[in-house]
Order: sequence, then C-alpha cells, then structure tokens
Amino acid sequence: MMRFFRRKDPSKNYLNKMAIGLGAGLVKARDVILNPNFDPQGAMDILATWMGQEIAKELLAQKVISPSDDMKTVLEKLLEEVRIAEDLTIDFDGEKSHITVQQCLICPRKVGGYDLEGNTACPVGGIVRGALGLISGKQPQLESIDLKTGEICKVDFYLK
Amino acid sequence: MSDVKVFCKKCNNPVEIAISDQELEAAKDGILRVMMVHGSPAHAIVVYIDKNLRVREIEYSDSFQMGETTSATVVAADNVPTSLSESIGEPCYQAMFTFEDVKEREKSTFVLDKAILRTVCDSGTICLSAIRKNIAHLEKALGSKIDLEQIESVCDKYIQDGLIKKL
Repeated sequence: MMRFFRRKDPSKNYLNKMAIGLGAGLVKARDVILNPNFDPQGAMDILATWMGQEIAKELLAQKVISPSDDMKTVLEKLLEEVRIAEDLTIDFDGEKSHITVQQCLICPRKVGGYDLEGNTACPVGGIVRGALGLISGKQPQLESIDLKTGEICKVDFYLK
Repeated sequence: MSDVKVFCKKCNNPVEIAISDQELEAAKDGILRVMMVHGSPAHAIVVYIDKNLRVREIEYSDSFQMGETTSATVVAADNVPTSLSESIGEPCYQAMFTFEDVKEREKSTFVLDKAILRTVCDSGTICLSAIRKNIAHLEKALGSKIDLEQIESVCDKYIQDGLIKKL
C-alpha cells in the first residue's frame, strides 16, 4: 500500500484548478463542443475560459490579487503565476493590452509535439478572458488573436 | 432603388422587396405599405417600411385570391434575413461575404466573435437581438451572460474590418 500526503505548495494548486475548470467546462459546453461545425480552437477557447476562471479564484485565495486590483495588475499577476511562456510581453495602450507570446510553454504543437492537422488550440486567450472576466465581472473584448503555432502568437484585449 | 429583405413566416422563406426612392418619398405618413405576393402556393404579405428602410411590421393574409393581373417577385433563397421585422429601434447587420469567404480570417478570433460572425454570414441580414438569440447556447458553454452591448462591439469590429455592414 502506498499513501501520499500532500505537501503544501500553492504554486501547484493551479494545476488542480485547471483540471477543475476543464471538467466543469467540458460538462457545460459539451453540446457545443460535440457539434461537428465547432473547430478545435473554439473548443479550447471555451475550456480555457473555464480554466482561467478557476485560476483567478486560486489567485484570489492565495491573495496574489484582490478583487479591487485593476485589470493591468490582474493580467500581470496571472501571467506571472501561470507559466504560459518563457518570453511574454504585455504592452498596455490605454484600454488596450497587447500580449505577445514567444517561446510558449503550453503550445500543443511546439511543446507537445502534436500534429494539429492545420488547426490551432491555444488556451492563452481563453485563460486571460476567463480570469479577467471573473475578477472584473465583465467580459474583456478580444480584439484580435494572431496565432502562429510554435512561433510568435499575439493576443490583443480591450480591458474596459 | 433599394432592396429590403424580410422573412415570411408563412412559407419560411426570405422575400426581397425593391423600393424606389420616389415610392418612399410619396409615402404619405412616412410609412410605405407594400403588398408582396410570392411563394407556391401564392400568398400575400403586407410589409410596412419606414423612410429609413426599416421594416416596421408584416401582416399576413389569411386567404389569398388573385385577380386577372398581378405583379409579383419571388427572390432566391440566399442571403437569408432573420427577424428583420423584429428589429425596430435596434441595429441590423448585413454580411458582405459568405462564411466560406471569411473562414480563414475567422480562424484567428475568439469563439464568441466567431459565432457572431458566422451567424451574420449565415443569415445575410440580421438584427442585434436575433444574433443574441442565435448564440445563446454559448452563454451556458462560457458560463457568462452575453449582452447586446458585447455583441454590438464585436459587430463594430467586423464592420471596421469590412466583413459586415450596419444597415
């Protein structure tokens, strides 16, 4: 018999939270995701939104962020805590934010090595949207998402 | 000459009505009443159109009898307008391209934006609340309410991109 005791390591809670978001999103969105007209990126957007919401709850629980924080702070902390990429740039331009992801750590194609058959499945937009939506109570507008899997991906937000 | 598209609930088909500027000018109370005979079997609708080419009301006849002469136009069933007749006081959008045309462009957007663009492209012409109705399934999937303001801002983005236009 083997018995494991959990060591307290808050940084590892994000993985649990992502699994929770994934499960909840899968159930809530199953009708949409199973629709044959729905593409993989769309499914990832939805599941990642749920994951982002759960991660934001954990960030609040760990007091990394507070509900009164502005969206810039939330975005900075989120991307700092969740290791999305080795090289990640955020440019704030008024209400707009431009995220540039280089050396991505969660790209299913570049890092995972999977052939995505011409599709994309980037969770960055969904995670950010879900997290910011939970904290602000509003849904940020994703201005544009320019995904070049394995190269440089850009996600632009409106943080109204 | 302007084209106004309506959806006939009697035959579940789109109907296009051509209206001249003179006809609109001549409308005595600002509302032009157009009797449209179409379909098979033929039936009639009366469409009330204001000077901004907005459809204010559609009346359906219970019975239709044709005299010796009539002028009718039956239009092709593409560019399907949805719920235009319900759009009083709210913006309507018209697709500039088919969904196939913008499919590649659509790949780089978020799921909500994609769904809105797909809805407008598939409908041809559609009003704001009808878009919301069509994408309502995403509310449960995303776990958040999608309000009209949000949809309008997505539409504005596509208007700027030249993919759709506001009527």
